[in-house]
Amino acid sequence: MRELQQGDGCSALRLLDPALTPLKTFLRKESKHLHQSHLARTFVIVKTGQTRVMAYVTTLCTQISVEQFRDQVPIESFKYKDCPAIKLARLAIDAELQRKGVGSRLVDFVIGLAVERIMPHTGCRFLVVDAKPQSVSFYEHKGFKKIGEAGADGLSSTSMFIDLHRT
Amino acid sequence: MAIDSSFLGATTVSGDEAKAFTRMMARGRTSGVVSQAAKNGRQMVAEFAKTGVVTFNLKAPAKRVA
Repeated sequence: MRELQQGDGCSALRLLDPALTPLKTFLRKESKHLHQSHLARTFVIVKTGQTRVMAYVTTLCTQISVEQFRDQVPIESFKYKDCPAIKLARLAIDAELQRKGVGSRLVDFVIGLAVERIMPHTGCRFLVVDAKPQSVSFYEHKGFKKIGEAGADGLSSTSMFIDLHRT
Repeated sequence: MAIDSSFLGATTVSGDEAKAFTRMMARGRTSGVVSQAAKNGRQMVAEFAKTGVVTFNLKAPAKRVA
């Protein structure tokens, strides 16, 4: 696993579920530009000596905003409604590598990045993900908790989070 | 819908989901699963910081349970 590079092959990712096509499209059309622009960072799995992307994870900075509930605050003594977070924005695994622990490793890496490289230097409390219906159980298995159903980018998803303060 | 989220945007929580989120935050405990993931992740990040690459072998595919 390493950072996405310009010469990487991003057009051959095979995802068997048609509902996951946006993940292929993102990798092919947007990932390199966003990576270069520091708008999102993408890490890829490639076989040793090859450049074809077999799996990837994309992360970026975001926030959880808690609105219309003013009686309590999510974090004690923190009076603001916006809590800094990292978003696990995209994650996809080629059919050849599925059910081999690759997705779990990618999530572990993102958690490791947050707690080792981000939280010691800047405010960041949560890791959030908008999980597709078929991925909710995977993220629950990794310790994410459900916030609720969201309409992300016109698609149904479940917003989930990990409180990184409690790792 | 009480949650709004987009690829580059914030996750905005309101209504009952905001209450539930607040409750989860108040009662949240350290998760063994997350702690283990963080431990694994720290090791991967240390390797990544040294070499720019993380190498690992794939495990045998898990059996699918109906």
